[in-house]
This record gives sequence, structure tokens and C-alpha cells, in this order.
Amino acid sequence: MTEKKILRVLTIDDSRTMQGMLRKALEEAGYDVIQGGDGVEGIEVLESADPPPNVIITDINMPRMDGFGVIEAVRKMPAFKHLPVIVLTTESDPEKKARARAAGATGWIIKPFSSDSLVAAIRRVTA
Amino acid sequence: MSSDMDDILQIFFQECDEQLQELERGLSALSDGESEHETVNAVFRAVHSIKGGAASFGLDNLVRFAHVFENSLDGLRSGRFAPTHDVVKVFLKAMDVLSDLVNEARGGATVDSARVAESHAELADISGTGGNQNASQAATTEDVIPADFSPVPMDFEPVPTDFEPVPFDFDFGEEEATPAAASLLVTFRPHDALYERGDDARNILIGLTDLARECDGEIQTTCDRSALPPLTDLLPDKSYLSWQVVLPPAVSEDSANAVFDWVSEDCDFSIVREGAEAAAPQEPPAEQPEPAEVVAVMPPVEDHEAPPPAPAPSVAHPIQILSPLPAPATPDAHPGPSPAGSAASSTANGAAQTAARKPEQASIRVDLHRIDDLMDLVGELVIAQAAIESLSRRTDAAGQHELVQSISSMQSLTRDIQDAVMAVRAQPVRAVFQRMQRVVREASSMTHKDIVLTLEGEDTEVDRTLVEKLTDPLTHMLRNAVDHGIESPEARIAAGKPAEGHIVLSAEHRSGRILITIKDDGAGINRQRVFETAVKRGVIPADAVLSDEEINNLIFMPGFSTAAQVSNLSGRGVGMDVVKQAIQSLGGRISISSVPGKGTTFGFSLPLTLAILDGMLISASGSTMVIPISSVIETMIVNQSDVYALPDGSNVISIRGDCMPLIPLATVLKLSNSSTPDSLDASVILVVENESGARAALIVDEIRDQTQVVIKSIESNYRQIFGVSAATILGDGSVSLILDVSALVASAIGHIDIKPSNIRAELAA
Repeated sequence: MTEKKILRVLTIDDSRTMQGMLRKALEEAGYDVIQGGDGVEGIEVLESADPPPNVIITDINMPRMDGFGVIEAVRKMPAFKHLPVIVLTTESDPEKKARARAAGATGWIIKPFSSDSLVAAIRRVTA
Repeated sequence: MSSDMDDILQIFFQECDEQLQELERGLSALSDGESEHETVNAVFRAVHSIKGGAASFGLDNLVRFAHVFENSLDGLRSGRFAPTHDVVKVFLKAMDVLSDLVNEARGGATVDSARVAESHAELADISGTGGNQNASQAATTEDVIPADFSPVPMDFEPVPTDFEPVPFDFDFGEEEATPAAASLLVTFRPHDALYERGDDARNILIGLTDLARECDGEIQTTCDRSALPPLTDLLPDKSYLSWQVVLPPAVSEDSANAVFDWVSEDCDFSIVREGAEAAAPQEPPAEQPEPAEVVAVMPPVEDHEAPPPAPAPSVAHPIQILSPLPAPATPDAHPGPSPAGSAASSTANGAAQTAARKPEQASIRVDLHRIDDLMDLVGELVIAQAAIESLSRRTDAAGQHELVQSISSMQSLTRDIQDAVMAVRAQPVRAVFQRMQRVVREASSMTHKDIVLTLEGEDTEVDRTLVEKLTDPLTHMLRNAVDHGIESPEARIAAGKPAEGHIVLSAEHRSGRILITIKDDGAGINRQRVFETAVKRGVIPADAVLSDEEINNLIFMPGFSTAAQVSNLSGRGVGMDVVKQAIQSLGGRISISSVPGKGTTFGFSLPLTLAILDGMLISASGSTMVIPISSVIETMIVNQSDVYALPDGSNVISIRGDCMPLIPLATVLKLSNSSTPDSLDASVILVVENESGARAALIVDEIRDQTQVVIKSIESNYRQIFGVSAATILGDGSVSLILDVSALVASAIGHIDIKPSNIRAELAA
């Protein structure tokens, strides 16, 4: 797609390394990036974000609130019930995917990711 | 790009340090018998995070080990086994290996592969305790992990945008036998769940359009609205529509399937090659491998070499996908990683290598509140400065008065800013303390002793430079405590103590300084033996009469070792004297207390910062000098009747019955020639104390002020001067010397007590 609308992406990850990689990859691809350091903070950022993000990318394993918790919380918020949420995880095992799916994840990306695959995944849900 | 990656790599290493600390904390909590779910989770997360980051940078050694570690921890997390003493021990060992591997990745020493393999096997052993897969798991982990990691990048290619269209053409050329000219017919009907999950039929349509565009084709879309109810009955969150899309012939079934990867359970869909029925019978049956086999045969791909794009085999075959099919089994079985994925990982590799050569950047993490506080104060400073500026233009008396007030409020503001900056630089001693766990662990396994190190007050904060400089002295002191302090288990049992030795390392703030104590429950210092050794080594004369404390202090003398045999642990050519020097160079003092049979306690008292000190401004013979306030015990006016002359011409003063040497400061520093002032009556004295508690009285002309001074090294700017530790610049711009109280006291004591004079002086120093 060639449309030039700037999309906003909320990334939730407790690893600063991962946050750095996400920010770099997404900003290079022309996205506006906002970030949360764990599930609880991610939800706070989501609630106060103006404009709200067009997609959320969240890690699974996090302190305070994990990725499943994030998805469930997002799906319970009337404004974001239909917001695409992509799960970012190192585990490729189907059980985790199934859990993320059950919680309401739109899709998943498995770490380590390439910028291209990350962008492709976002375009897949926000095109 | 690569400098960005370098930055992120630096962040990664910082984060590794933090995660390793977290791991250490969690594991020690577990070894203390705690089994909180959150602790286990935190431990798991730490290793998991390191693995995740390492994988992004292609740090294979680290990934491989972290993966096995993580697997074992997962067993603990899911309750397959309990954190027994032995299990935690294995984890602690693995943590040390992991920390060394991180260091290796950072460009440090290469880790002994045998050690890694050993820990690796132990971890695999643990996680296999529950079942029989143990052996096979241990054997195959090496093979399993690369397979686990390299195919990953292609798993999240919902749309194969990375594939060049060109190879498709090639493949069509080669596989003439296959009639692939038929269009691809895709029909799909989303379930309600697809929308509930934040997805949209539109996304799928766009995905399919993208596929067609890549092949320079277009799609024909038909929407089936037959299920749509009248508007009055329409529910907004129900799915009523279905679509039929015709894709150009060049689009492969696999790539179309990939579009449905995320929605395979939330959408009925079918992908059929138009006219497939006609094509199928013509397919050469024997030579063509089954598509599934092609997938399975794909070799694992090296990450430094991008393979040719590989979706071709499946394109070549007319695949029949069962018509209304809920979930084809293919999504996870794509062939080969995308070239983009592997290219990215090879550049990441390159970045990792270049970054490893760069020196480590010094950085600290600071609580945002502290920065905010500082910012607030700077804001006030700007306002105060503006006020002073406007007041200074006024000439009337009232203005003058206000100006003075403004300046004094600015003074307190400056002080607040200074405190705020200090707070920014302050770091908890935790990082250093936790490193000591490993020191004790390794030392006790080397000496075959069972020793538990307990940490207290890890949150105590000190200046960052100080934190770093504490590592070596503490390491040495703890090794010493393990080696010499704690007895062997047999000796402990014989003495009626538990076989397990105990060392407590604690930190606390005490009156503007930090006090670090190392307390062991060992045998205590054997003063008889210390004394004999000291005599034997010629450190003291055989007839020296020393107090218990002085004997204790002998262990800090250069070249002293009481160990009957020099062990490979403490006997590294570094004596306790080095520790003492290190602590003293930080402006600290060491105290020892030892009870035979009960144990020894070492105390380090250190200033909170090395940059600024609270000083008393005094003058002697016309020069203004600074004495660190922490070493001034009291000030008073001399009464001539309390002063006694000694045969060598020096004086002592009796203060409430305590005799101490009287030091005429100006004379000692050679600022004036008269060795003894004519009358001491009414002159001012300061009672000062050095690190080991020895006191002396300094005679000065007057006390001027109390102020904070910034310490400037005199050795690096000029040269070492007796009695002077550093210099500073005062408010009026003049340079002033900061007195070295220890040296002054030591020289005075040396003068008076002639018996073991050199010893006393050195002990006191």
C-alpha cells in the first residue's frame, strides 16, 4: 500500500533491547511509535494516548501484567475492542499461540524478527 | 543503521547486567527456601529476556545456553520439579556460566567450553528428571536449537512481500510439465471471532491484492451478500458477508494460504486452482515429490548465506485444497526462511562484532523523579539569578539588603542542587554486593567449605565511582573470610558450631558516611599466631608490646600472611595491605573487632562521595587551609596548664585525662620557624582523629568558616606534599590546601611513642 497516513504503533515489552529494536524498525518504516515497559504501563499508555494507536504489539512474558493480560484488558475496553493486537514472543510453541488466540490476539510475530517481517505483520492488520 | 544497532547492543548488554542481577536475587531467594510464584517467574523472565535479545543479535553461544537454561527453569515454573538445594545450586552455577557468556559476547574472555558443556548437561539433567526424554533431550539440544531459531523469521510472513517475483518465472520455465496457467480461486467467509480479534475482512482482501500486484496482476472480487439480513435485523458485530476472489495464475497457493495464517480458525476459506480438476490427471505421478516432502527436505539454512527464494516447488504443483476447509495444516510448514530474514540477521551479526570492539560506554539508570527534582531546582536557580541581576542594578540601601538576602537564598539553592546531583549519581550497592555471592560461592567450593553469604542493606546508596571501586576490596575481604575466617566443617563441628559457615555483608548509612561490615562466625583472629608471624617476618621487634587492636591491625601490614600454607585462594600475592590502601585511597577507614571462637567483623567506613567534602576553614601562619570536618572531634581553647613538654621538645596535651600529641600546624607544615610558640594560652586547638581512631590536637591560629569544598587532586596537578591530601578553590578564588589528618596524626604519634614507633606510625596510617 502506498497511502501516506502515519500510523501509530504501541509496543509493550519489558526488555529495553527489544523496545529499542522495535522503535528503530518501526520508525525507519515511517510509523509513529509509543511504548510501554510492561502490561500495566502499556495499558496506561494506551488509555492516555492521543491519537490512539492503530495497532498494539505486545510481548508475552512481562512483569506485573503479561501479554495475555494485556490482550484481555484491551478487548474489554469498548474503544479498543477491535484494535489489532499482535503478540511478540520467542516461543514458537502452538500452545502459546493458542492461548494468545483465545485471549483475542489478532496475530503473532516470533522473535527474533526482521524489520520486513515486522512491517509486513503490521500492514497485514492495518492496511 | 549500524550505529543504531550498536546503541541497541549497548542497551542489550546493560540489560543483561540487570537481568543477571535479577536472576541472582531470585535464585538466592529460592535458595533461602522462598518459592513464590513471582520469584520463579522473575528468574525465568530474566533468562528468557537475555535469550530473546541475544537471538536478535545472532549471539549464538549465548542463545544456545540461555535456551537450555530457560527450559530447565520452565520445568521449575510449571512445577515439574521443586527448587531443592541441589537444583538451585545447578542454577547458580549456570548463572555464572551465563554471566561469563554475556561477557564473552561483549568481547571479554572466551568461556571454557567444557564448563559450558558441564553446566549444560546438568541443566538438561534437571529438566529431564521427570521423564525419560532426558537422554535424548540432552543429546539433541544442540541440533534442536538452531532448527528452533532459524526457521522463525519466515513463520511470520503473512504476505510474502519479500519474495522477488522473478524466481517465479524461472521456476515456471523449468517445470514446463505443470499447467499453472489457471487462476487461483479464493473464497472466504469470516466468523464473528475474526472481527472480535481486531482483524477485518478488508485486511485479507488487501493482502490478496498485494499478492496479485506482486505478480503484476489484479484481483477480481465478488462479495456474497446473500446472508445479509434486512437492516432492522442486522447486528453490527455479526459477520454476514463472504467473498470470492480470483487471483492471477502466478500467485501460489502457499502465499495465498499465508494470508489466512492468522485467521485459519476464524474464517472458512478455500483456495482452489481454477481448472485444477482438469490439470490433475495430467500430473506426472512418479517423479514429482509430494509437496509435503519438499517442505520436509528443505535443509536448514545458514544465517550468513541467503539462499535463493524457495517457494517455487509448491508453485509447481497443482495443489488441491479440500473445498470448505476450516484449517489447512500448512501455515507452520513453509519452506526455508525468507532472504530478508536471514540478511537481517547477518547484518545484526556484523553489528555485534563491530560493537564488541568498542569500549563499554559508562551510563547509569536514574529514577526519573530525581531528574525532575533537579530540573525544578534549576528552574528556581534561573529565577533567583534573574532576581539578583535586577537587584544589582538598584543602588539604594533597601536594594542592597534584598540583594544579600537573594544571594543567601541562592546559596541554599546551590546546595540543594548539589544534593540533587549527588542523588543522581548515587547507586545502590546491590550490584557489587550481589557479585559477592559468586565470590563466596566459588571460594567456598574451592576450599570445600559450606558457607552462606547473607546480604543486608543492599539498597544503601553511594556515589557511583565509589560503588565501582568497592568491588576489589570486598572481593578480597570475602575470599579472606572464606579462606581464613571460617574454619573447616570438621573444626566447626568440633567447636560445637553448625558445619555451615555464615558471613554477613551489610551496608548502612551512618552520619554522612557509609559503613560496610563483613562479619563471619569463624574462629576469630588468633592474636598469638598473628604476633608470632609478625615477629618472624620482621614486621615488629620480638619485644614489642601491642594492644589487641594493634595486633589485629598487623594483618594489614605489607607482606603479612598467617595462613599455615599459602592457599591458591588468598595467596595470590595480594595482601590485606592492598585492601587497606584501596579503602584509604577512597577516604575510608577500616576497623576490626574479633572475638576468639566467635568470629571477626571488619568495618569499612567510607565517605559518600569522592568529589566534595564538608570542611572546616582554618588559618595557620597566614594560610587558609581546609580540614575535613569528619575528622574533627572537638575544638577548644588551650589552657597552658594542660600542656606537658616531652624530653624531645614536643608537647602533649591532656584533655579530660586523655593525653595526645600536640601538633603546632604551622611548624609541622614548615610555614613558620619557631618550633614552639611562646605561649600556648588562648590558642585554638582542634582535636582530630584518624581512620583507626588515634587522636591528636592541632594548634591553629583561628577557625574561619565551615564550607563544602570541591576536591581537586594535588598529586596530578602538582606533586605529593606531606600533610596535604588535596587542594580546593575557595569562594574568593584562592587555592587552599586540604589537610591529610591521617598523615599528621601518624607523624605526631611516631614522634612520641618511640618503642615500636615505625609500627605505630604505619598502623595508624
